[in-house]
Amino acid sequence: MVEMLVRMGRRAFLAVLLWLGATGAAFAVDPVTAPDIARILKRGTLVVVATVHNMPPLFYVDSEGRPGGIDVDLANDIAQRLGVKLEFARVAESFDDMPRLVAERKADVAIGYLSRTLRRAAIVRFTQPYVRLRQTLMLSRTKTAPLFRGSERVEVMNTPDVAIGVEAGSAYVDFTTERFPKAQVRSYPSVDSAIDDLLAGKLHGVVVDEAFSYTLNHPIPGVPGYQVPDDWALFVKVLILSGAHDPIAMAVHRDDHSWLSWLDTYIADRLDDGTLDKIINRYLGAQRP
Amino acid sequence: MNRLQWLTNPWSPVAGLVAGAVLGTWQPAIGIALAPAGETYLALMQMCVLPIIISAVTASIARLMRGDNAHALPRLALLFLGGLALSAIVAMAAGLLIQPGSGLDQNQRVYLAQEMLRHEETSGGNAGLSLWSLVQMVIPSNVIRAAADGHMLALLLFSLLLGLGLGSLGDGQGERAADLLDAFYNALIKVMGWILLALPFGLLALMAGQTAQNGIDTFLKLGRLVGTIYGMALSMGAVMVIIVALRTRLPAAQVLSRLRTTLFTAFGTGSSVASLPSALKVCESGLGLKHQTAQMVLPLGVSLYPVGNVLHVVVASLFVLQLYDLPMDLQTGLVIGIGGILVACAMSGAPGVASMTLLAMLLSPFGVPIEVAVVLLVALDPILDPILTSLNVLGNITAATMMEPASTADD
Repeated sequence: MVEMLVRMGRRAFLAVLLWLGATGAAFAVDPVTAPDIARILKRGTLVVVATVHNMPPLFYVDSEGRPGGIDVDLANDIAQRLGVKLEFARVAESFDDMPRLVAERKADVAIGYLSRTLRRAAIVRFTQPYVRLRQTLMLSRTKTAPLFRGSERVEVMNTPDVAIGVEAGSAYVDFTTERFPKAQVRSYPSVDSAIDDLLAGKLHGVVVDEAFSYTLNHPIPGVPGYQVPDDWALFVKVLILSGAHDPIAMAVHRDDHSWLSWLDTYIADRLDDGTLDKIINRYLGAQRP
Repeated sequence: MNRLQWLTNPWSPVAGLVAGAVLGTWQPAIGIALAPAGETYLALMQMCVLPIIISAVTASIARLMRGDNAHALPRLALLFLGGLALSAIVAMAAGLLIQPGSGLDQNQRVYLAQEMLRHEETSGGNAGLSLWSLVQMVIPSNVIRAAADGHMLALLLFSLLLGLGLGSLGDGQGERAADLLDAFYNALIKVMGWILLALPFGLLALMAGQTAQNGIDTFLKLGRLVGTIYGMALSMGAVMVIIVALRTRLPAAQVLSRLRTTLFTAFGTGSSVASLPSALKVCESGLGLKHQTAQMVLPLGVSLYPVGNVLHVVVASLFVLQLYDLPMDLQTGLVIGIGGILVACAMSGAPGVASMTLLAMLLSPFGVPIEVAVVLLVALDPILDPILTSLNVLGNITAATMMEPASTADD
């Protein structure tokens, strides 16, 4: 599965230039401009950290090299409104890498499918969530049939006999151990490898977010997706975990107070004018509650 | 009335069916436009059937109790059970022999997987039902609501009890009530006769709508499964025709010709309930069965003797077992057989998810992903419904001829 992940730039800071911002800064750098925002404006470039992996539908580069996804659309819009260029630093090897890199000031902001968790909130400051993904359980149909017996009550999974896979270094390690404390929670280097084991009958389930399962079901044309056999749905059932949300938020350095409130204002405004819904519906379908 | 004679010609419904199928395939737009007309006609047919079932079952059970024929009820129960068990065994033998679920090619697997996704994305979460909620569907607290919800098993139970009650009344009360119910019954059968005058047109509209809406995609993709069920249904049907011929002492060709209208009604409407009046008529006037026998066996059999459904559920369960390479042993076979019978009865007597929950409770301990069987049943329904309904109705008529007291059959 690893071959499917587009790896661009490993340890080095190989930035992908995505967007030449609108001509002329939207904001003049003024002596009274908050220093954390002035820093970005003076540089003329917004540096956004993202993972090296393709993560459709939040962040991906399609077969023609064009980046796309919810995060890319948002980062573009933010850079445009700031009047600066946009640079994606695709350097994070895992999700946990992103807050670390922001804390080390390797980027101005993390807009990269990043779940807001308490553990990460001790490292960086989070904005309000721009999308709340629902957590989903991908279940082995045959292995879980004797547990569920026709119902869809996920509580039956909370026993020591049940093995649930999650992606290492992702918020789902925390979510899953919290929701299924008695089950064996196994960490995998990527969701893909966990799904491999699920299809091989070694796991009862894998906990992912709905964006992942939605993209399996509705691949984006021209985008290398997660590699699963075409008939995966014969073996795997997708169950939305009711009441379990995965808040996806942007993260900034702990000292960047003004920058954080600027982003919060941005998100609140885009929620108000419907832009956010429009972007999210474009990638996750319009039937979300 | 002479001018309308051609409407009651036994070939008219067939002509309607064929014309509808041709029209729906040739001009799908017209077929889709005709679909609401067909559905309205079906509704009109079904409208009268509920009171027919209640009055027929109640009156016939009451009469049974009064007469010397009280042992007929246990005999009928045995006959139904035996017939269903036999169908389950035959279906299982065929399913094990033909193995419709083994060795599917990639195209078929992908098709099934997509059906699963399509179905599960549109269906909400399923909280699951308990065994008791199923029992409560058969024993409702409010029989009017059960009727409104179409819970046939509940209605049958109520009619059965009412009939037993009437039968045990003294002073001719029971007879008077049964006479009254008979009057209702006969009146409704008359009304149905008028409605059935339009049958050729109704079948034309229904068939045109169905062929226009259902491509042959599923048929091509799951050919072996569909073929197995069709083959089984046809051969079981042939055996039944022979049984009816032996019991009624008519040549088999004659039996087929008399059953023609009823069977094509079942085929075109896909509803055993809607076909009931026609089946009642043919049993009494076409096959010469006693009014009493037909009136008792046929309405009960609509829900309690669904031979075609048993075939469908058993073969679909085996298909899923084979699809996932799950082991098949005696215990699994027993559960599929018995479960298939229960689920088949629930399917025709209690609409909705109830029957599927029952199937899930029985089969999931063996690791059978029941949702796959459910989707399979739903996806195949439009293609299989015509032939399976015809088999249900034919099975029912066969049971009625078997119940006919030997004395009548002999003379």
